[in-house]
Amino acid sequence: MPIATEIEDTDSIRESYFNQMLDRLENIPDNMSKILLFTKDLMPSMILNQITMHSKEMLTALPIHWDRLQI
Amino acid sequence: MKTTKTTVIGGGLSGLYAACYLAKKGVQVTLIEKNETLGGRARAFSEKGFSFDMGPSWYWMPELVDELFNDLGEKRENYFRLKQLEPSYRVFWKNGEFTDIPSNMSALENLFNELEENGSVKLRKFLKDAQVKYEIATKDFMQNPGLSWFELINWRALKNALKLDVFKSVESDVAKRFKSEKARAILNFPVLFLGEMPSRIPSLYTLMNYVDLELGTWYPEGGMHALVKALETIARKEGVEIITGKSAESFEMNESNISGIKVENAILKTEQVLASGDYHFIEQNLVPEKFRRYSPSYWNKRKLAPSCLIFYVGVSKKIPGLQHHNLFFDEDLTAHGKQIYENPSWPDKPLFYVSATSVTDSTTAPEGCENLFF
Repeated sequence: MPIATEIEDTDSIRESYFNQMLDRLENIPDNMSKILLFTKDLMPSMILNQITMHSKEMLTALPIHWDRLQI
Repeated sequence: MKTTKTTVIGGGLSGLYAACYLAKKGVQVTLIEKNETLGGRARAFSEKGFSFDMGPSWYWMPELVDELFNDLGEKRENYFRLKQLEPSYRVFWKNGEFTDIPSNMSALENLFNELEENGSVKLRKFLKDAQVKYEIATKDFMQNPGLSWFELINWRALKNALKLDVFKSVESDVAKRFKSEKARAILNFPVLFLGEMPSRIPSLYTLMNYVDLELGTWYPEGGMHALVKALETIARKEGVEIITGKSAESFEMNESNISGIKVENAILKTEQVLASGDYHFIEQNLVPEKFRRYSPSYWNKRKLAPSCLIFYVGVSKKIPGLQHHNLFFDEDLTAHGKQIYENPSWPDKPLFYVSATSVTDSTTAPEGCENLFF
């Protein structure tokens, strides 16, 4: 597999995982969507390899239009 | 008088430590880091009163880190305190069930007795075998420079070759010894850090279970970044020039010797380079083509460890269901592994890790809040 396969449609991947993680975390006690104060993420620019971390601009605030972020 | 101008590329933990070590030996060192802050994958960021370690959030084998400080004539405890976590971590299973992994051995043995018949006896035997591997690995292999295969051949290693279990996998070794699915999951977990499935990793690496369960999981107070800050303080004290926010773009060569590094349209003169960035990046991007050892096609055939997507989340209340470290094993490990390693793709239902350092370290989130890393 080429080690530099660009990830397409990163936003939908991020949103889908964010929602899934929160769903699974919500097995704990609270409705997380009501208590979120702050969110950022670190998204690899390439798929499934560790050379992705070279980008300087990778810390991104999550898009506020996601349902879970409408606090 | 400092001699030999050396440039270290990369301000992660290894680059920072190398810079400290060289400066201590009298070398004139400049360290260049592309990000605005030091630490590489172990760097941190803070916002709205929350602070996050962006990568690792704990470490094993603290004596090795202490030795590194000793080699610099320093004491780790003068920079940060280490805390052993109790429990070491919490494992979540399906349906919200969970198991806390205690740091205390007798409590751990009790847990394994609850998980299966004679669990403590089996665990003791398993960890005793893992300890043999750990001792051979740390005494005979880990301290070698890795310059030759002959370093791997020594009398003790040969004498204990069969005990090293290099021909069976972690998964098969664990499955042979334990029947409980939960015990198996707990013991298969540590080798996932190696970037491969337990079914493909030699049982030699059960030495990681010994490190995990017997020697403990350690957290530097203030976060993993405390280690970075300590090394930065030492580097500056030893006279290392630190340049952040600038990327190395290529090496300038004079015949076959390096003469400088191109850094954002300027040339940084240097006599030596110690490259601490990722091997692939340095070799394919900075080294002039005629001096490269490998071709792009070689690299495309390599199997590298996977990257990951990380979320940093601040919430306005405490989450009592979480410990400092939490593993979500609430989905199928085999399916997760197949999607990552056999047919590389984003897993549908991944296993994941949640760190909430604010559970044990109140300095990492505002009062009454929790910082989540998952």
